[in-house]
Amino acid sequence: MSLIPELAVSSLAPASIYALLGVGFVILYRGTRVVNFTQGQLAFIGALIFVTAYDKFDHQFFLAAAIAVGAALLTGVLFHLLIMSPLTGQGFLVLGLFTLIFGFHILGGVVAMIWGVLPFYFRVPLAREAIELPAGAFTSQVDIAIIATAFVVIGALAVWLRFARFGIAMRASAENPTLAGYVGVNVQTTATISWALATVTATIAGIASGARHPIDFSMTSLGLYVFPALLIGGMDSIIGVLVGSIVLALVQTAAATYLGGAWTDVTAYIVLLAVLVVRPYGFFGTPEYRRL
Amino acid sequence: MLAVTRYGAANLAVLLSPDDGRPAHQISFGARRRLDPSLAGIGALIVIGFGFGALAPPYYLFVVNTAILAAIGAVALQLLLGYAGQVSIGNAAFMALGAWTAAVLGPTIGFLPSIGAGGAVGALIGLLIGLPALRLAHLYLALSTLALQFIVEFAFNRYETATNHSAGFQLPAASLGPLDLSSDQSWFVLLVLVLALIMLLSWFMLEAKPGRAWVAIREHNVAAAIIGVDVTRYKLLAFTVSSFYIGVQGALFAYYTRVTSAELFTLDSSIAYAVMVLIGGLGSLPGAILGAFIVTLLPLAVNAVGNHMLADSQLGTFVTKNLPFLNQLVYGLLVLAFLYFEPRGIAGLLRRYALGRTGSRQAEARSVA
Repeated sequence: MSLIPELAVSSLAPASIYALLGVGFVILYRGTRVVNFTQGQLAFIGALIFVTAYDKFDHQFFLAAAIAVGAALLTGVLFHLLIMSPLTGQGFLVLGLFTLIFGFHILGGVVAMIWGVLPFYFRVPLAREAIELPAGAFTSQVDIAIIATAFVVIGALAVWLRFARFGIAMRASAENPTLAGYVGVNVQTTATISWALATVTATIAGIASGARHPIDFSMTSLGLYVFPALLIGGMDSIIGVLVGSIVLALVQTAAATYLGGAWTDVTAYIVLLAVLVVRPYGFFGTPEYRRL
Repeated sequence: MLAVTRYGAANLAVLLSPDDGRPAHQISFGARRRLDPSLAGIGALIVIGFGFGALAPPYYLFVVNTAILAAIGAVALQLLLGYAGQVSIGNAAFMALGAWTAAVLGPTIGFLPSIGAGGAVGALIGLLIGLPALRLAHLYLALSTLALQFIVEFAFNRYETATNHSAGFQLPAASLGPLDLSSDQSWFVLLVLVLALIMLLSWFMLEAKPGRAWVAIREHNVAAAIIGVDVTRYKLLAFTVSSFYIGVQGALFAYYTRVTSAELFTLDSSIAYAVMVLIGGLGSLPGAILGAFIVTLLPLAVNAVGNHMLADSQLGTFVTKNLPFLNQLVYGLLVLAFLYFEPRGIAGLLRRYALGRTGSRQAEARSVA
């Protein structure tokens, strides 16, 4: 039967988008322990900035992408310095709720006032026609580009965090900010860089998603759909988020194929509940222990 | 309704304070609270409330009824979030369960039983969703309630489509024995009584063992277990009680508006409840009520500013055009402002203000310590 390879191949592009979004979340969680519910909004804003630049500068894809990534870098830095940094020490219960409220109310309101509520579209300078692969699977140049982008971005980040000093500084300052400060880690700078990385990867995810779907408010829920992938993998593991994204996309594609398109989103949450009951720390994450 | 005079502020602050002047998070075991001033405050509020109910025009009554309904949900979330320290972003899901139950059972079993049934279904699902929470830290729990939010919304939607009720479910008019509950006035009385009852029950619960256990779990669940608090039992109790109230709220809401559908119970409204509790102040029941009123009434204020004060100006046009988004923005900014300047919310603000007024430096020092 050719359905299995077909499912596997067609879920790779959505998996890449989830992974791009999720990796920013993991970096942020590792670097600051903040559970960021605004990833979807950040991706949406990134995609909107991209599409605005794209229309303004004669449809030059790479120029627009560079502008969007630059803007994301700035947004991330400012967001941390102006908004999140004064809230340090509020406890992650309140901080998590705050990012949720911030994303849905403040960012959502601002975005609607600036860009309106109509969807945006853009054309990638690549063919959208299906390419037939052996075993009856189909893909397209756009999908291949998305997968390649995710591969390069996440690979580079993973290698950098694994081997560079910053990766260690990040884990140290999340684990114990005070001790990390004693040994010379600049905890605030580390957090700022983590936020910048999270917004940049979210923007790339937003652009990638915009290449396949219209850019509209449904993109904001992408940031919530990524949680099942994060939980399958464990909140703090990059490998985990890759595996989780692939599993999630596979399950969703299978649900859409066998049960119908309406089931796509809700299956993500059924998976989430199942994972929570079976393995709360995911399959690659580190369990948290609390000291007295 | 909640006009605060100087004297009133002091009174309200006493009423708002969970304890004798100490911040909400420092409630100790065995703390004794004099209930008298609070009861006086509640009595006064009820009198003012009924006066309002008799005199107010129907539109305002409708708005206030909606706010009271919201207050029921906010108080329920306060128990879970502010006292037991368990994050839930699935308020709307439990409301939907209550409303759904009332819509399905209401025509057969009548008003009061279906309100109870709504609460029971809410409590049952709350218990089930609380089960993973036993092993889970805050974040994972928040996610399981988020999952519930989407699953319930989806199931309710499917059910509507499957039973050809895509426009929503109609509910029969509510009646209590010979009493006919069709006017906004009668609903106002009913809702005030329900809210008062829930407040009273919650107060008793917080004063007694469950309240102390919840605070202990919130502060440190391992330490709580070590000093002999049955963490499992009290976590589940918090979930069950909170989701029972929210289920009741959903059923009442469905009966009040007489038509209900899945579209009314989205994630946005779940988040609005978190906003109410955060604005009102974590760990204060009256704070939750104030938060609910602010979040419900704020759109009217923004609307009034747009329509009247800024009418015929460019800014006015902008405000009118972007009203829903501006409302969202104002909620968000309010939460941000409170987290920056007074993380204990309105309850904390009033307490601080009242303490400054009465010049009670000792109480101030105690609340800081």
